[in-house]
Amino acid sequence: MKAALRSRWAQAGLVILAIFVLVAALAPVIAPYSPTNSSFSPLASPSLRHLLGTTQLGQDIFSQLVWGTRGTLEIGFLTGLFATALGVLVGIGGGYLGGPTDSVLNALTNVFLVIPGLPLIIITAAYITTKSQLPIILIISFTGWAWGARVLRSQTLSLRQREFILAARLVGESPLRIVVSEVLPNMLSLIAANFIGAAIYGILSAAGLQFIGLGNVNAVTWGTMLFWAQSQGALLSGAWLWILAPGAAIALVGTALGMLNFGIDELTNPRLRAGVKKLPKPVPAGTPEVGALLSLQEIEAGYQTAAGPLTAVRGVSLAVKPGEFLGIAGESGCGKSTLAFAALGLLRPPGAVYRGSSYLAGVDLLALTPAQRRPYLWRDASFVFQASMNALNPVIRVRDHVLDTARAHGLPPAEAIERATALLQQFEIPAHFLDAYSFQLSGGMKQRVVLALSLLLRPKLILMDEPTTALDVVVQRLIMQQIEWILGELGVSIVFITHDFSLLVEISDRIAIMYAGTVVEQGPAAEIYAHPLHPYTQGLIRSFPPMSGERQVLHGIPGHPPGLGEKLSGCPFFARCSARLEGVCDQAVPALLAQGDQHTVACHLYGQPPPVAAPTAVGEAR
Amino acid sequence: MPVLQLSGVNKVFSVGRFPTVRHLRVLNAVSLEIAEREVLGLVGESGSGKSTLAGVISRLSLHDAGEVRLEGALVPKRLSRRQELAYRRRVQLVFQDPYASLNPAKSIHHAVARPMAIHHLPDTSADLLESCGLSPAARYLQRRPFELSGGERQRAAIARALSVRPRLLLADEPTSMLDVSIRLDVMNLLADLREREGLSLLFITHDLAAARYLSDRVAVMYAGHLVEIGPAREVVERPLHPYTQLLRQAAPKPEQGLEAEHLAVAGEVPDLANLPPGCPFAPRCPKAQPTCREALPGFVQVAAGHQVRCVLYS
Amino acid sequence: MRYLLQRVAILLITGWAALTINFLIPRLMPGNPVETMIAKFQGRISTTAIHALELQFGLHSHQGWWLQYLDYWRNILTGHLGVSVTYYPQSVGSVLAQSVPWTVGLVGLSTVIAFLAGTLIGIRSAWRRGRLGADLSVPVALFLNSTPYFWFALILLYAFAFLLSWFPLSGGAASSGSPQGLAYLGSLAYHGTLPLLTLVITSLGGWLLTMRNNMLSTVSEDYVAFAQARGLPEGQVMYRYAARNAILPSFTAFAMAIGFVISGTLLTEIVFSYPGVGFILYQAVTSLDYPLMQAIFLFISLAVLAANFIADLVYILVDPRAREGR
Repeated sequence: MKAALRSRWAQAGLVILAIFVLVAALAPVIAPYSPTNSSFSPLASPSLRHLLGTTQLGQDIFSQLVWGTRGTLEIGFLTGLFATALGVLVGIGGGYLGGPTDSVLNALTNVFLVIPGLPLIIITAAYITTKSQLPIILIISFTGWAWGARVLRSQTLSLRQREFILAARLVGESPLRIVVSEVLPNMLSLIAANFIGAAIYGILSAAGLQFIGLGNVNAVTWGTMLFWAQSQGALLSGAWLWILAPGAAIALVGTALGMLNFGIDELTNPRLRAGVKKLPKPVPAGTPEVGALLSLQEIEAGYQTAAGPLTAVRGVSLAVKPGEFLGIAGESGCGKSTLAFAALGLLRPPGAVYRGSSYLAGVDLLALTPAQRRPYLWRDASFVFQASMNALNPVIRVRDHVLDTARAHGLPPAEAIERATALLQQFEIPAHFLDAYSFQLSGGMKQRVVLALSLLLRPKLILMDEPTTALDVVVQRLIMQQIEWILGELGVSIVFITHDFSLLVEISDRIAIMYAGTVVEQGPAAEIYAHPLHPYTQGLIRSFPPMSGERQVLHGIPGHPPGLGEKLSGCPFFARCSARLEGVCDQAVPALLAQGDQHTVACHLYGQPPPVAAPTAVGEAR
Repeated sequence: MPVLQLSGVNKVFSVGRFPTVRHLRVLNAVSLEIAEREVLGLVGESGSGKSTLAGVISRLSLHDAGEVRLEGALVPKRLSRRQELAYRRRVQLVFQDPYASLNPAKSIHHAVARPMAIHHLPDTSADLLESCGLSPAARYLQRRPFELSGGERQRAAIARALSVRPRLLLADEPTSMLDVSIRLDVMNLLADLREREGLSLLFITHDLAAARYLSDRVAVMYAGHLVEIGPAREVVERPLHPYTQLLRQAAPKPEQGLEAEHLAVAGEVPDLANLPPGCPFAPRCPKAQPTCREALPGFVQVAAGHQVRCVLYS
Repeated sequence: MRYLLQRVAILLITGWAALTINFLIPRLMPGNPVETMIAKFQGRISTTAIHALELQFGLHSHQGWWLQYLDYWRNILTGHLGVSVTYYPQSVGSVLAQSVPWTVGLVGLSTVIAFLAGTLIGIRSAWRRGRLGADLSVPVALFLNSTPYFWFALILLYAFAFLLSWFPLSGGAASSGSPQGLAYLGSLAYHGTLPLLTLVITSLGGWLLTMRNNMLSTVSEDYVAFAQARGLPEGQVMYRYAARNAILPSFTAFAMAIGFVISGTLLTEIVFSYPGVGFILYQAVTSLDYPLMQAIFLFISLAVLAANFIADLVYILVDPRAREGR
């Protein structure tokens, strides 16, 4: 809740709303006259005595507006309260209880969702003869709860299956207590949003109702002001402020409430968070490595947050030769995925590359505009995602994915389909799946379709970001065999990113180990596995229990990696390292230095700490 | 006496609505035992029914047929509130995802101490956290889950499960969401608990190597059927069932040379709504014989305590 | 197919519920509507009309509610909705028949225009988020979204009809001389522009916000990133990959939105004295013409249901998953 208020939208809304609430509370002080005092000259123009003029009946419009704030906010508040209470009861109750109760309540919700509110209110209100506001408020609430109930129900349904709710059931918590103390605290923002929405609905509906003379027209609200203004011909007699002021007030309160809701929305759905600044292009660095197909130079990338920029990749340089398989291993948060997206200029806001170059066959992709970069993408380097489950557009067919890709790069459609058919066949997918939608494919099939797509334009390089992570062991092995075929038969270079080091050893030419946004070690796969140098690599390899040999107690690496925003003054692995040198490792960031022919490692155990102002000094918080 | 005995447990899930209801046979005649202080590893791929089995044992869902016995006593399907609480005190579950299994709106203290309150136990949450490796406990008690790392969360979730001092702990892929470098220590914690508290443990995993590391015995499931069960090292190092062999082949084993074995199997796990009549693995099995597709083979005792459901051994 | 059956079932249940509510309201409300009406019309209603009204509202009737309910359904199915008091001796049906085309035209046209315009602006506002122009659309949309329809109508009426005299102050088409052909269309446009403008502008904000939110969620989907990785042109990624998916929830939001638009139309018609259902409803309410009110509610409920059903059909067309019953 507090976080929601940090949104700029919410703050603006809250300020406006606070002003109106203050006016309502202090109405007797602020309003110069009684709203019903009709002793002034009718239809007076605005003046210091009557800021907004007077009505046909000689009442002060400004005083009515001030007092009307009270009546109007009251309606909004009470409608919000009643409608939300109903919505919570029906939505959360039905959603948690499930079964026939839920079916009935859900059907009821659907009915009320569709029944047109205002006409029903009008009809019902027309039968009501009492002069109290309450029936009107109740009727409006009664027609306005359904949307909230629907949203709360679906949220409850999803929470009900969440493991922490199951855990509460498992320890013997009672259903009522689960709803009140486990479910509800997680729905406060949704309930607040629901309350605000219902309040807006209540204010607008009541105003409409009062405008046509239903309800108590003698109460002072903005709606009744509009009723009197209209019925006494305010516009025809030129008293346009009489109309303008109360309507604008309604719209303003509605806008303020809407802004508050917008802030809450941003909180519950981080994807909505706006305020992404456009960044300048990253500062280029270095020159492409000789003989490399892809050469990354000093890439620094991260994410812009409200609290400032975070650095996920802290100066990484890597190179891939033609036909080579480079494996990149690292744990969650080590920056490996960010690096992959950054390398192709595909990091999207709030992600950003701060510095560095990515030379693909000599062209620095990061120095290009998106439009200039597009022709290189997929034609020279394609990209297979971690979540190929969602990589296909759910509403178009596999064939359309093929054709869209072909069209963007000038490949004739007939040839594209021909190639795609052959590729699918290679990956053991029958050709008729060209006409399938993604939901008709199994997980393993989707991944193979994406692999086939990645080869459509015969690229020189494929970047693969955890392509087998969500898959079962057997399917994973089959996909790895397909990737070996791509490597062997087509001579494509592959950069393969994974958290599973054990997967890399058998297939990679070279392996790079990433930790906390840096490459800590790289070298030929067999050598890294047989003679790991960095204590982190050693610990990582020891963390895989073997499938053979005597069983013995093994230990992982204690602690956890530094956070993205953390400022590092020394080796990022210092806190977890069993071989650390106090006073050395925590003082200077180790540089990646050669150990033997093709093996490099960034560790003070294998060389002198570099001078403090080394060009590769990384880890400065930006 | 075994802590838990399952015999012939069946579970069918009905998904979809009229007129396209599909009945998924998620568990089919599953029988197994977990002895006191034993760690039984349960291995299978997604959809094999291993998580459903944990759900049935923990009574998050009820089985359709078969018997569940806890400490020798038959557990009826309907329990009174008191019986239910008594059962929950004996059997607890640790979930796979430590990011989802702790209430984001509640403190760690709530997670650990609330079960103690429900069961009228003294609040020993601080000691419990310490014994699960969250030390000093005072630093963790008032924190909320998002302030903890993945490993710390899983330790807190284990502490919650232990808060009622259960006899049997079900751990459903407790390490698969964790980083590789901290998995071993969470497994070591579970091993410790067995030693210290005398717990029995059902350790569910898709990783043969992890099952071998932690378990006394390993059971393998495929498409809702138990296909092999036996001493951990035997099952993992010399698997008998063709499916277990396939699992072993598919797993990366860098320590056994750098050339991966080539898998010769195709196809996918069968549709649980339309299980083949015989052995569920027969359609994919490289060694399948005509009889495999006719009837589900029974278990064959191949060595002491090592049973396999496959006609190759009868 | 399953999706369609499900929608039809909901449609039938909702229709039944709406009509039953319509039946119950006059019977549950305190007071006696017929007496109120007799008092108001002071002998201007014939005794036969009074008798008919009493039957319709179940007064002095020895029939149980159940039989009355059956009668109610028989009347609806045979189109006997009673006699209007305001427009006596016209039947409610014929009064409704004259006003329905006006409202349907207004609602239909304004909904289509507002939906298209709001959705399009929402798409672009989300895609270009972070830039001033795109982000400014949010407070503007929020303001429009909470602007009372009838108030906006009054402002337009004052500015463009009263002060500038560009448009007429009231009516739906020229009544004198009854022009033909093109001239008639011109007259329709002349009278309809302001009401249409009111509805389009005030309901556009809602569509804009809905689409913008959906679009922002969709933009971070993997299939959008995957489309960008394949080097597809920006416009194609924006419309065919992101917007094409983001628009789907708008169809589900349609149920509520159409209710709001119809409510807005009723009030707008009153302001412009536009001869549609809203205007008639206003007459009915001010003169306590209960049979007419009931018939109007009946009509609006059915119209909303029909509109929802059309939205469902369109949804089936645009989402293959709905077609396949997922």
